[in-house]
Amino acid sequence: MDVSLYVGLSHQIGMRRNLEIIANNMANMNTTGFKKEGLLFQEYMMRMDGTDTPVAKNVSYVQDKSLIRDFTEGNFRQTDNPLDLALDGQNFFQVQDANGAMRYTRNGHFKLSDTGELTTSNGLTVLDTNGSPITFAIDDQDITISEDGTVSTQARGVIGRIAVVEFGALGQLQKVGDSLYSSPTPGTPSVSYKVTSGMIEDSNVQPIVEMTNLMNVSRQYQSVARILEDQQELQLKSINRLARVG
Amino acid sequence: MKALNIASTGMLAQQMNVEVISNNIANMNTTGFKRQRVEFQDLLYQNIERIGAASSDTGTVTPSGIQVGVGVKPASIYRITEQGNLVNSGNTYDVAINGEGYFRVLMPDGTDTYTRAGSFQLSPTGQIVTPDGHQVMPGITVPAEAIDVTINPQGEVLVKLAGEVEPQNVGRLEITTFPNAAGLEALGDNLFAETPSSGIPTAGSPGTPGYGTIMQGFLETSNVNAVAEITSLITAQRAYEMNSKVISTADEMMGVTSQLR
Repeated sequence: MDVSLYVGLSHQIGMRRNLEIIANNMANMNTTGFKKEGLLFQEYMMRMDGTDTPVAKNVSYVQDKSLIRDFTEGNFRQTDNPLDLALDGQNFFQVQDANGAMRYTRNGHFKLSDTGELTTSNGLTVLDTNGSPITFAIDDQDITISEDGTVSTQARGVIGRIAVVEFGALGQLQKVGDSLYSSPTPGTPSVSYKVTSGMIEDSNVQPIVEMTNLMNVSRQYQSVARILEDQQELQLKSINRLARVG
Repeated sequence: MKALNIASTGMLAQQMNVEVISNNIANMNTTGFKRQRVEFQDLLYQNIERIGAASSDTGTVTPSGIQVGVGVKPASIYRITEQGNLVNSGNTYDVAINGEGYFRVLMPDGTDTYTRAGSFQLSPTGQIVTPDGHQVMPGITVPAEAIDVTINPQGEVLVKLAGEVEPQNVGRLEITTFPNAAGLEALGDNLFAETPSSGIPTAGSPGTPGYGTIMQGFLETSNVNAVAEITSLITAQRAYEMNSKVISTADEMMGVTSQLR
């Protein structure tokens, strides 16, 4: 077995996946509340001859082991829509889908449903600190949302307070699409946060960084391809030479 | 190669972004026009290595697995209802709403629509109508013998008739507000319709709390900010370009692979 070919292959597979991650970051460059991602690689050691031999005889493959999500804040963009909310830090709005499952989001582009509930643009209910929906009456006007998430209207005063949660281990969060995250453990109410009404958080993708990564991936892929080619040539030569001896 | 598809969703999304921006720019001088913005969302994710999967038989788990997203989609196009500038036109029947609210317009089929474009005119029968001839509610008729028409900030239409000293009140313009005006559906012709998302309209009188005042002789310009739109256009175009770069990189990498012997 010629190991070097497989080592090269493991690298190329990793680079392909890296390309997919970069492509997704680039595609979501203008997605509200999107957090950019990157791949972490790790070494996978394999013994050459299956015995307990010194380390020098090991071959290391590369493996894409996990994903890192960069939760730094994106830029805030002014929209002047009172139901557009931007959240600072690493806090999340708590929303609930039609099946009652909890979801978390940083996309604060909310709207009113036909029953007057505050929902996400996909119709998931935005929850208040008591875990119940925030409902407006049909004649409510001049909705204001303060920095601590308190929702009030001119006619009825305070209606509720939007729940903002945080997580001990952000790595546990899983993206489920539609700007939503799911978590195996429920979030705990955030201690310090600031809700800004009339603003929206852009994605934190930095196009220049992504373009550089893209070039890097492409070049690395090519250089490994060249190694594979050289390797093959080497094999071809050795076969020819050995054959001549016989 | 998934990257090809992912980048193509990015290009499609940016194309829509450019379309919306070009509509904003095209309507830069449309009375009462409200600019729009596209809202994007990420598509679903594929779990290559699930978060929390066991990494050993002693019960340790991977703290963060590998999830590969498959691109982006436009989630909604919404309207930013910020008020436009008020410009003096000097025309008697040009009225602008300074503050919250919409004029209610009765369509020929009997449905209600709403507008902030107050460039009204008189119909042959003396009614106040939109430039398309639809009646502005609650149906005010200006007598043919009127020599001067004043619309005060409270929306009252005061008509001075020849030979009379006191102007005569012939009706009061009505304005309507919505809990979520950004949720109104645009019908074209500067008209909007009520939707479940906008909430139920509440009619009121201009100048009362929660409602704007009427300014005669003024028109509300569109709230399109040319500089902001051009900046967004550049961003969208560059984003489009960068996504196309991903496609060409993916293509290059496939080329390298296919040339391996």
